[in-house]
Amino acid sequence: MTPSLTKAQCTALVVMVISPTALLIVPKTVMGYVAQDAWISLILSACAAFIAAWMLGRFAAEAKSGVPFPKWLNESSVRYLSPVAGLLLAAYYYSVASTSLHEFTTFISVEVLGTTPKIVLKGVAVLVLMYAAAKGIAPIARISFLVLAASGPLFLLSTLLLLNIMNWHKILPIADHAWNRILLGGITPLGWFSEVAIVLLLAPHMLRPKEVTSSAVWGVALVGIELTVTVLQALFVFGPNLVQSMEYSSFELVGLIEVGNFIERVEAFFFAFWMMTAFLKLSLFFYGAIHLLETTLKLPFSRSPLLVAMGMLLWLDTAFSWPHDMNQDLTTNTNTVVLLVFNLALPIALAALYWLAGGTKPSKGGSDA
Amino acid sequence: MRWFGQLLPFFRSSGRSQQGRRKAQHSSSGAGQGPARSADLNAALSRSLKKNLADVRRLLGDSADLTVREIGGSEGDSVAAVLYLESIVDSELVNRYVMTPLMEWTVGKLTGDRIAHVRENLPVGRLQELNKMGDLVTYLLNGYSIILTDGVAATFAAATTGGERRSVEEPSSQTVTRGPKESFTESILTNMTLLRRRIKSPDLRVESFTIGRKTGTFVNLLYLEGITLPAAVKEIRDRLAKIDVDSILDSGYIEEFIQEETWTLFPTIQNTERPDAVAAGLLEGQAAIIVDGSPFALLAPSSFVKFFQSSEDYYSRYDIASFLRIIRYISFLVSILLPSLYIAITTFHQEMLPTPLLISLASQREGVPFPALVEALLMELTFEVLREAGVRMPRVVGPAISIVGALVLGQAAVQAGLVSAAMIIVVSFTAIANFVIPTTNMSAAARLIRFFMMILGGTLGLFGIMSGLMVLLIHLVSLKSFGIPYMTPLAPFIWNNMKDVLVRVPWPIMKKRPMVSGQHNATRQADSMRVPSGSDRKREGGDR
Repeated sequence: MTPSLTKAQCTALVVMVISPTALLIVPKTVMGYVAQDAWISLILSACAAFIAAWMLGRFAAEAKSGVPFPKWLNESSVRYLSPVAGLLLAAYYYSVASTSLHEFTTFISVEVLGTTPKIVLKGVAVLVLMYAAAKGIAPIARISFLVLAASGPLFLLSTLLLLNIMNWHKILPIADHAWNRILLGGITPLGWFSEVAIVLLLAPHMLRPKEVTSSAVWGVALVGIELTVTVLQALFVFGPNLVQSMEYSSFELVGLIEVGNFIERVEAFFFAFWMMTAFLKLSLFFYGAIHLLETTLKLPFSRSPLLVAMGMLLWLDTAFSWPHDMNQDLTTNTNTVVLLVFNLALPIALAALYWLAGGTKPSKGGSDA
Repeated sequence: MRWFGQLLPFFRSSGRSQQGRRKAQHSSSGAGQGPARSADLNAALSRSLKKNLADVRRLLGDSADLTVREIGGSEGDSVAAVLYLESIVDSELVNRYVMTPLMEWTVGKLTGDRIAHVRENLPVGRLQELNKMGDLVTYLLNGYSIILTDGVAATFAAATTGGERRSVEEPSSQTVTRGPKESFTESILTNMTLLRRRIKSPDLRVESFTIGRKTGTFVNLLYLEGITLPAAVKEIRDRLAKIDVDSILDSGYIEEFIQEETWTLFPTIQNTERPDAVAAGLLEGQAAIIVDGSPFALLAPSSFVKFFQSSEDYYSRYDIASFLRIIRYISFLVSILLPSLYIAITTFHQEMLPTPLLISLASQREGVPFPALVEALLMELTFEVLREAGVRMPRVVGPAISIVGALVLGQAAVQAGLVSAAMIIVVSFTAIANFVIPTTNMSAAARLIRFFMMILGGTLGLFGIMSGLMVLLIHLVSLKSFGIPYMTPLAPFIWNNMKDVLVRVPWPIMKKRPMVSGQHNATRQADSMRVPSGSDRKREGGDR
């Protein structure tokens, strides 16, 4: 493992981990709780996510450059937790890859390829993920940075082109809902924001792991702005009621962009761009699962057999384990709990134990397990 | 063995050329020529003139173009001989500077301490003393005249290389409207001259290799000391030294042997027939490889963006150069994606088209018996056939291809309802866009990728295209060229090197060399160089 990630690349990876699925699901879910006050919930959620990002970043910054997370944990004061933490996180990353892949293919099936069997779409996507994971994290990070750099101007442009159909009055009355309801609305976005915990995986791949805290906070800030603006756009254009009846309001929003009579239906470009970000997210989680498995279990063989086996498992899992369309409860309530447990509770518990037991100083009784 | 240093005395040979020399020795010993012959070549020269002549004749199989001119003594026996291959020497040089002095000398000067006399009095600039049969044969095969004398187990090789050569002409594949009009030739000496004229720096290093057991091809590795990354030079040197094949007939052979990744469609080593492009590459920290017999030099390490830069970008104004460069990138994307997008949208995503356009396309496709994918594949393959025919066909019948291709096939196919007019437009525009890419190997890569994309677009629509693009991107950012990331300075992103990537900024702003240059000596302009402004001009005028 050769460290190669820069701070900017790490920030881009954090954005790519949170943004693609959150962008599709968050507007509808949050508006389901607090309608036109969704943007307040999002801002509050982003504020909480800043704190979480800072804490997770501080913990991840303890990592050694070039030493995988489980190995680093194994050399620390909480080495007895290393196998459990490594396997739990590997299982979690695999689970996110599986869930996200299903969401991804469902979206494609609903929006553009209704007649193509999902099993084929999933198979092709898994092949892409296997190729990405085989090449390692550096290519994923490099592409993420390019995509992030390109998304800024595109996002700005789409906002400008929608200005003429926005109605500012649709967010009125402001703060119409009770504060506890607004806070509750922020829980689902916090679940997505909590995916910033990916920094635990990224830090050892960084040239300077100490910079991971800054990357985590910047990543959350960028996604927070993106989600808040997207929710506001949806509110201004459709209003809260219409958004709740839409499956993917962000996609519908871009579909409204028109420039004269010659540029219209640009959702194809949005779709293509979004697909790229989704691939990056899936690749990173799939790579994370593979990487954690091979480093935790200290597998004596090369990555290829594990890659093929995991790829097959992912394909079959997503093809046969999920219902035809994932229901709303699964994507919001259940998923949010899982996200918060694995991204916040588990790493924070690990961090607390790590610092209580004396940090990097090995505990009494031996060195390597 | 210093023979190559003598062969090209005006090159500054560096201490690192030892490897190349060793390689030359290895190849001249003829690894694949059989044990008896190998032993013959390694043998020392005999003191007997007759034996030496007999050995040479035997080793060359009594070759018809081997000329042996014996010089007789008073007793009628030969005391010296001049050997050369008539086909590759300059007869004028041989007669005037080798034969005439030897004939004019008395027999006494060819006996006794003859070696010293020949060394001191033969009016030839490049004269090499040899004492092995293998070296003698190597020099003979490279156009040298060999002077053998009786009673001495040594010989001299005089540089008389000649034979018919193509003169320096205009480049045929990388033409420019403004800029130098010279191109490399098949002669490594001529090519070195073209480069030496452009870079008059003592830092230009030349290392020589002889590669190819049968062809014994001269290969020169050039770089600028202090500018080219030493690690990259070492890597190239090592890879060149490892090549052990029987023949090298063009730089294309070397390219495939030393490239970082074989299983890729993308070129990771540039080739050019322009000396100015090679000089620019050297000044930007690349190393050049020149192969005798090939008018195409190689430049490495190379990045993806280098294949979109044309020599003319630096000779014309920065504004038009930048505009054209953007056009090239767009053309590359069009070349890869346009047919596949057309297929995907007309097959799977019709709702994405504006209604009038959709109606127009649907009416054109009405009656076409093939799906869009088959239609596009047929048209693209037809174009590739026409293109290949155009290249191979004698020039006088070339225009016929245009007529047959454009009028007969295109128009007739539309009229017969086999393909739609829109498809003809898409395929034609794609083909034209492909020609905009300034390097042929990158445009070839685009042509091949286009077919994959068409199949993906035709089977899985936009999802297939994006999946293909994702794989392509991962592949591109994973590639390296002699340790340098192929997509640099885009990925990894290096802001300071972006001045000559998507656009070319004015020369005074490009103070630093781009990514491939070494850590030291990165600055190529004095600090005083800056973009002149109108007020500067006025001030200068006022001072006067």
